[in-house]
Amino acid sequence: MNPKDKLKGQIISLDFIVGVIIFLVLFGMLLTTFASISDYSAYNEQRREMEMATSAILEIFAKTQGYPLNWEESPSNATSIGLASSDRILDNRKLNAFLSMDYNTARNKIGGAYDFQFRLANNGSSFGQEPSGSMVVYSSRIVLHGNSAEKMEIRIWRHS
Amino acid sequence: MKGYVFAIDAAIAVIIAAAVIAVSYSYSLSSFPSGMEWVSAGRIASDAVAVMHYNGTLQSLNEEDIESALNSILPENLYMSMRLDIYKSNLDFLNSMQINQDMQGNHKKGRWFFMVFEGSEVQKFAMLEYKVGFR
Repeated sequence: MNPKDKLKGQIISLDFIVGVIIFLVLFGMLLTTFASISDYSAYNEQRREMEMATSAILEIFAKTQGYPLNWEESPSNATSIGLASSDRILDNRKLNAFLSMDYNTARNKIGGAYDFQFRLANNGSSFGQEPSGSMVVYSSRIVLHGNSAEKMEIRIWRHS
Repeated sequence: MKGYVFAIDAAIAVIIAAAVIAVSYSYSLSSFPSGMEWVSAGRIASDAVAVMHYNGTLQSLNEEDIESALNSILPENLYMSMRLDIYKSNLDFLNSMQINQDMQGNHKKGRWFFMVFEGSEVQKFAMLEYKVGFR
């Protein structure tokens, strides 16, 4: 047998092997890309959900009196916590009642899904825990406190 | 040279496929504005105007006072401009006032209407139009 005959057809299998390797590499890259996109979408979705939550919490704090309207007299019976006496004007009694609440009770009253830190930037009052975790979402509103503007801030994160 | 045309063909295909995957990967990881920051900017701007109304700053119709109050209230990442059109109580136009340089570029707009009283009598009306955006 001519030794050259043994090599007949080898180029086809080499071509095939190279093709399969390239295909597998590209397919692997594709799978990694889809996995990353999927993770990132989930991250974005969660972040958006948390942004909506901070926005809703501050909207209720800044614009409503809460429910019942005199919830500050019995904070544990409150079904909704509002800190305003009227549109964007803070009520000191409601604010003090909120700041004096038990943290877990307050967390449950504002939704319960997240840990939070509430802060009045100019006044320096703060309530809640120190932020932790990889995703902490922040939001702020401006309200009238006494006769001056006050920045009301909230940070939330998912409790572990 | 036989077969080289296939190798070039394959190489081009691989480069194109890899490029498409790389571009879609980086595109998917780039951060898109969720829209919430504009909602938040609009709310803060509305808050600032409301607070200046409630504490009487707007009713002073004093350009320096309003500008100084506005700039001290706003968070550092936001810029806001306002235009006040002031009318007499008989609705005759009196004058206009520009607070901060008129905002160009991307912004969100809002309006606020208020009255200026002397005792219980309406002295002036003012229509305030504001623009808010990111610095």
